[in-house]
Amino acid sequence: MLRYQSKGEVHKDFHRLTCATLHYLIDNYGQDALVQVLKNTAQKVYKTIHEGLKNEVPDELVEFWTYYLERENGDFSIEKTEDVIRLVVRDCPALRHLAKLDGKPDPLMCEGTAIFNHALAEGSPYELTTERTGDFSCIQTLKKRESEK
Amino acid sequence: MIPSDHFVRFYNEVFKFIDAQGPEELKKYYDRVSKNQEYHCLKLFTEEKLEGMYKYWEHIRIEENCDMVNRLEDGCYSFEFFSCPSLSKAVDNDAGPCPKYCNHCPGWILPLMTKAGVFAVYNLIDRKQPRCEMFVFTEKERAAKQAALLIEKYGKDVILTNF
Repeated sequence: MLRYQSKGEVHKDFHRLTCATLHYLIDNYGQDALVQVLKNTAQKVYKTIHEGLKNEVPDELVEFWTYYLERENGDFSIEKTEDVIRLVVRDCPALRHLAKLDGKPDPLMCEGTAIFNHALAEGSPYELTTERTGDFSCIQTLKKRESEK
Repeated sequence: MIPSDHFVRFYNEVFKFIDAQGPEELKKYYDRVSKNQEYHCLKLFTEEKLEGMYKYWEHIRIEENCDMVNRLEDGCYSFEFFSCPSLSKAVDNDAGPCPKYCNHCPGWILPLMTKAGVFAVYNLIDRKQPRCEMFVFTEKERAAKQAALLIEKYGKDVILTNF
């Protein structure tokens, strides 16, 4: 069950503000600030997803990916095998919207996602990695850490 | 990706972090946000003044699903949020709201109003409630009169102006 569910219109301009904010944090307080804020967001705002991963129940993470990428018209699929859950994003709605507004996507958004994902799985038996595969695409992989197998 | 629907809850964490860095840090951040917002509204506000503000917040009302009213009457643009979606999300949040969360709206809006050559009075009402209102005039005297009325009713701490 998703902790937060949004209805109605989607205001995609918030992606631009997110991107500007990530830059602001780095420019004014350094990389550690970016990590700290994204870690707090991942572990405190998304507490139920974080706790779910710690308890080996990744269902809400999958629901979160599906619900919000569908809401924002992303092109994606989720592949599940016994040991791995893989989110394949072929066209990221956040990067696509940035490109629409500013002419190009900003890779800092992807770096932010990687930091966020790392923090989300921190302290859990899983690792959640983010691999950028193109200007608008990535693969996010949830799998058990080697030490947990 | 942080969904655009969840931007507010991320923003709330940003405010907590920046506020902890020093007393003037949030003000500096609001100035930067205001600068970024010029992209969306400065031309509209400068060229069309109160009508431009009505257009901008009408667009926001629809796209951000706001329970609010926009008014343009008797030489005054005003809005009133009955249930601000932004603070509502910051409150409906396992991380808890930043006590200064509401300050960001006047923080970015008031500098833009100055650049647009108008006079604004922002009433936060109560930082714990998702309600607020703003009144904008082209004459400073009328804005000052409105500010005085609101200060008498709500107190100085929640009334902010750009003059």
